[in-house]
Amino acid sequence: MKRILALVLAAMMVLGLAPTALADERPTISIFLQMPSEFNPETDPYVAKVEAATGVDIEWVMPPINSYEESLNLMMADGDYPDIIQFPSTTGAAWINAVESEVLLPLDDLIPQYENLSQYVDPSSYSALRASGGGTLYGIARNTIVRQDGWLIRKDWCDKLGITLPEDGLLTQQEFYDICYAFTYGDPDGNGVQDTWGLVDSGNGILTPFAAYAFGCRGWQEHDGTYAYMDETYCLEHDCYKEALAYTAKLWQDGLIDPTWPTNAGNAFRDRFYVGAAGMARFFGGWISTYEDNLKANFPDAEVAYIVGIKDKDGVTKAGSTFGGNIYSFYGLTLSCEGKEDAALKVLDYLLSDEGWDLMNYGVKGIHWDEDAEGNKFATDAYSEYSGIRSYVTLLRRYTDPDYFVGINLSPEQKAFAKKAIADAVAITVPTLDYGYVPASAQETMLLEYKSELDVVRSKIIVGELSVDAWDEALAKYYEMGYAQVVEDMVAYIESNR
Amino acid sequence: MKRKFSIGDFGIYALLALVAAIMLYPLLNVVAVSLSSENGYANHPLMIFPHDFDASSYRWILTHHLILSSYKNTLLITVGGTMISMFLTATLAYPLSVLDLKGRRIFMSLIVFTMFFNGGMIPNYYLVRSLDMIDSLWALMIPGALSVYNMILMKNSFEGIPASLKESAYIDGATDLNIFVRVVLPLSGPILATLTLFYAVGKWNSYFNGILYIRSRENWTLQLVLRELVSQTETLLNDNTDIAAIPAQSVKYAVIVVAILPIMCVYPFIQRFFVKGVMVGAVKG
Repeated sequence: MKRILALVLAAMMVLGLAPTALADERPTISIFLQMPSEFNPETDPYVAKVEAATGVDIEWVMPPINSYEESLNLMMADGDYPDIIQFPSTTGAAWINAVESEVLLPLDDLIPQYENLSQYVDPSSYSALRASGGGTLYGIARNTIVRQDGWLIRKDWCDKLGITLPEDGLLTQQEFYDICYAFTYGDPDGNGVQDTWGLVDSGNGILTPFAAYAFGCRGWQEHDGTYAYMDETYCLEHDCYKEALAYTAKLWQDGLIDPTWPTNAGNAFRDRFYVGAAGMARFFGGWISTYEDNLKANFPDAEVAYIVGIKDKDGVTKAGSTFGGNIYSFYGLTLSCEGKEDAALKVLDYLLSDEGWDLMNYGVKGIHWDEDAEGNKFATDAYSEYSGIRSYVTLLRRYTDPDYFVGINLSPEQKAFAKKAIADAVAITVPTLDYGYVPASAQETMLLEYKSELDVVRSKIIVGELSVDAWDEALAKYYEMGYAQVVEDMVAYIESNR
Repeated sequence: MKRKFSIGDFGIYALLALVAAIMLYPLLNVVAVSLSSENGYANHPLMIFPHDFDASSYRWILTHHLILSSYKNTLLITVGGTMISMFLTATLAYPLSVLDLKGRRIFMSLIVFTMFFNGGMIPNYYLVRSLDMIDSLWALMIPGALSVYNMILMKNSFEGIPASLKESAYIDGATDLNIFVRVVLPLSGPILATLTLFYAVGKWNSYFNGILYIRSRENWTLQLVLRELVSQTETLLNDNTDIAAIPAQSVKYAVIVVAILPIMCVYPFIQRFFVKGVMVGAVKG
């Protein structure tokens, strides 16, 4: 009897401890990242799904987005590190200090153990992060689609003015100019007033040439000159950039660019397109619903088309971009995560799995989206709310899947438009050879200060206050201030990575 | 005898009307844009009456899940922080206003020194952290609670109270504390109201300290939330966000209204003290 009683009591004790033991086995990782205030991890079904799938509890540390860098720097200075930190760029002070202070865990041996992190993260971003980390991999990049954005154009204006757009969306420099001229002086809106312009964009106080790639400026590429590699924007031997400046200056001085261009901040330039002040605006295929819906609210009969790019003098359209090594922010594991690396990487790896990718892409099935009888996905009413946080909760992206930018909330026509526009933007893009690498010599204070003056010279040339030849003198001084060293460092880096 | 309305009077009133219009126009424009749709703003950016009436900005802001908590936090900080600040300011200003206080000059020198020299942002952060106030509303009330400039204003105001009042109170057996509470403070209405307003507005508008010291969203203040909403209207316009229906410009203006409305409601009640109070500590006869 006593023996039986002892056994029963022992069993009860074990059963009583079991939930505690199981709970203790469930790790918690903290992640410091940018998230909009709409995201509420307490109630968001996306979070519950991720935690259930990975068996990992997540503690979200979300400072205000608009002061993220300040909060990040403070946290790094504080020394109280979360397990995972999202770094905005490899040139930020927080990242540089983190690498120098060795507060991040090396990932070279860990990443290969995770299938999705190995397969779906752009290898070039790992290379870029490895280079930025002094030869050790300390981060996992959130990739994007490496592309060169074109312009959305008022096709109804083109039809009215008798302009035929090419099927491939590629224009010569003269054709682009002619369209801007027609939009400005051809009264495309038919109101008898010259109140339209060819083109509008965001200036943010600093003017830069449009489509400099059409004049040979394609980032760091092989170079026919003194240096084996060069960014033609800052090349002393060729006039590519001067030609780009001259072209944009002509557009501006002939009155073909919306006068708000220099002062437009952020997305304010889009308003000018929506109200019919400009016939072309910079555009990425994924924004089609935003552009079209707002334009048609003012002009229900408006039609749009996509201008892919501008050809160079040889008839080729090629633009350079690697989006900084295809790094659209990245994540590092800190020393606080030691012992929990598997939990942290399991979460990140899950997000790139088929299930996780669907979750990030569309939200939770049955809540944010569903399937019809044919298996086609459609957005529910709740998708609207999810779409506001979607780009943020997508902590990682499959670099091989441009359809991420083709939302399920788009109409079939918009989906087709977006897919083609994105594919075209990717097709004209060639990777730059620097992969976002910035040498230490480029961070010298005097050089950075003079770069601001260079921006002023650039803007003055475009508006006509200085002649194009002023660029030669300004660039020569830039080299004297230290850019010559930057070029040498970049050439050495590119050669070491080829 | 009725005074004749002269040309000069006309000129003065015209100038006053012009200045009033210049001051009033931005306010009207802000309110009008906040109640207009995006297209209404794009077509009539300089409006003084709403075009294409649309209150969705206010709906979006006021239904945000952090708005109530942020209002609560800001009210707590404003009321509590102002009380703390006024208490510290008054209790420091009064003894320093007593001319025969021993070491008065030394105390004043030490206090004024802090007006010009400061540890800076990082040492202040470490100080707040060592006091275990990180992610606490106390971090927004205690650091910087005492403004030396305000204290000097109050000290000068206290010095203007006739000494004979205090002496007669002494003769009647009043202690220093009694004199401070029953004689000095009641006679210092204007300066107390003015500095209360200064502190309250400062606490209400406090933003940067929130970024430095607050971690969790439950402790975010109103300014942090509003700034976040404004910056989000930019990012929400990308990537097929279905909430592209949010009128971005109107939200920015609605945020201004939501932020300043409570203070504007309080201000008329203490306005009569304001002008008098600002000058009270400035000139000594």
